[in-house]
Amino acid sequence: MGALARAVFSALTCSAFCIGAGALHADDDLPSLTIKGLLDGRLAFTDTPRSWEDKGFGKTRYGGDATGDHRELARLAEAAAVMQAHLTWDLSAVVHITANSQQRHAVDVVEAYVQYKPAPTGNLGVRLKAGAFFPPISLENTNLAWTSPYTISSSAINTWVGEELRTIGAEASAVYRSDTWDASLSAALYGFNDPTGSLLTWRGWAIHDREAGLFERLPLAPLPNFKVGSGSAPGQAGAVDPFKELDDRIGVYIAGGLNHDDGYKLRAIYYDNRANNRVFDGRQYAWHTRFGAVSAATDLTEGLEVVAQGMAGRTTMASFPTHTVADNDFASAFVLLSHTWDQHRLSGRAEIFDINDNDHTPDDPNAEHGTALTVSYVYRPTPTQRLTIEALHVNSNRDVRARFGQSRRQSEDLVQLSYRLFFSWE
Amino acid sequence: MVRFGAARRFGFGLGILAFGWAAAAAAGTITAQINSDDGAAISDAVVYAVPVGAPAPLKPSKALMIQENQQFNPFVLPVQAGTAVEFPNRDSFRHHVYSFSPAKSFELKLFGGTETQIVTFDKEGVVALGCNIHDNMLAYIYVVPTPYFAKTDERGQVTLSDVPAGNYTVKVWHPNQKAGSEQKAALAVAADGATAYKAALTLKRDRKQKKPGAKDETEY
Repeated sequence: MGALARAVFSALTCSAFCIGAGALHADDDLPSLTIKGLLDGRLAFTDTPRSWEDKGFGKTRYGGDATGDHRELARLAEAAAVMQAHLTWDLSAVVHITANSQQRHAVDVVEAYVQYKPAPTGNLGVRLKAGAFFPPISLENTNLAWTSPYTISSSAINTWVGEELRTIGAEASAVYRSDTWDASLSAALYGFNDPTGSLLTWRGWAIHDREAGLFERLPLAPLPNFKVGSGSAPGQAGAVDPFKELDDRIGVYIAGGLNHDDGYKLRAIYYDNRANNRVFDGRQYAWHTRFGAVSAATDLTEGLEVVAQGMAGRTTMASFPTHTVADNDFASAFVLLSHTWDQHRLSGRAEIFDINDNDHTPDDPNAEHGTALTVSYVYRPTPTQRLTIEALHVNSNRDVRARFGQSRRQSEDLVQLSYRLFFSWE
Repeated sequence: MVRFGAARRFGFGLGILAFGWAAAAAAGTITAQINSDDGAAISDAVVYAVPVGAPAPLKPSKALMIQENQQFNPFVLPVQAGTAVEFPNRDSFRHHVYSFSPAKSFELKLFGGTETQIVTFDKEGVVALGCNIHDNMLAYIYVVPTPYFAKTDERGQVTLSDVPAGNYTVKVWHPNQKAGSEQKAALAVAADGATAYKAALTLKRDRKQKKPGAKDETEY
């Protein structure tokens, strides 16, 4: 049901979008179409641990080769386009597609939604969104195509948001605007998020910039618990299909936001996918995942910003009807400082991430603890170009590595050089 | 939104009368220096003089609030109550201008190219403008009950000229001033002379119009 429903759903949004695009130059220039996008060419200088992308236990997007040697890579890290069709003055359709050298399909859909946003006529207004879009968690991924203005790699929290979270449903928001601040309260109902938690449990936290498309499968290491006959999660595929509907139960979140003219922003969300964690479709288990997250950002002085975010939650899976097989508490937090001057931006981010394994399933050790430091320098020679050099250092201790004869504790370094070219058409 | 026609003609007639009256009576000037309370010059502060015990004549003036390069220009536009303000869209794309301020609540749907629409502001007070498509856009129209007004330059200076001799209440407004720190003073304007006025405003943190996509890449 999952893939088919997603295809139908994407087709619906895309047709709304195409109606908009196709009717170009109709009465009064509406609907109108805007396309913005970016190309990201990347050089990566990796450490030796094998990346999770290659079914290893590394936390970064690019890691060492199969023989345990470091690598120098040149890759198309991302080609993304965000197309917005204004159907009326208040109603628009957005389709965000991406291509990169690591994803399953040549092109995948990251977001596809329609948005109703009438001009405010008083202090209180409403906004509606329906389709597939990111829940309002990140104050880090605020730029075009969910990229970060600060770094190449997202924090552990927002890396996971980009991988396993997507609101595939509808969100309604009430917005109150005063003279000096505006506040919003949003509630959403969604489906297709039942596998959420599997990647976080079986791979752990990661730090990178590759968000999953709606049709993506994210690789898992060949863990012994997936073995049919002997494992505690028999039959789990070797990759997570994050946006599947498995139990026909609706998930919810409630989110609040505050933007103040004095320059600070606050966000809070409580998320519960309400999944029936006893459901298995032959390839993928459903996980009951709930968490709270808060974030804050402010300008400390002219040109100096601070962004902080924290998340804590729990995910459980019960492949055997009699007991919970996997029960993990997860938490992470980061602080990011960023200084801008002229065409330059220098940012530093420190973070911690943690998974506590509460169950006693012997073949499923998921506990981990880690820290990471990211330093990034951005130079923008022109408004349509961005050059970034980033150094990422991750220290992590993960129990399952020992089952593969590796050291539990591993340290990784990744240096990336990114050249981004932006384009727009309207 | 009100198309101006009769109102403008009426205002224009009054203006000619007023101008005749002002020219006949001897006129002076008010020179003002507006600083913050820590001494820095403040630009975009509106200084206006309201005649005491006499009605203020309506003086027609052309006022423009331009949308260009995904910004409003000017950031602060002082106008006399009754003024029809033109909103030309000089961008190739659409703007959806709105205000829900008590002094004027309106919505303008401006297509790209050269579309201009006109709004008359007849109630005194602050009108905060936004664009529903471009969240970075912000500007203020400040509606005053007098034709004697202007806004300060980069040096915090402004001159109100052709102010007829008489008694005035001089007031200052700035979008960033702290509530409760309003400044006003009684001032006698002499014929053929310059009357000086100084004020120090207490400002909140700087609130200015953001550049489009100021943070980094163009936002969507």
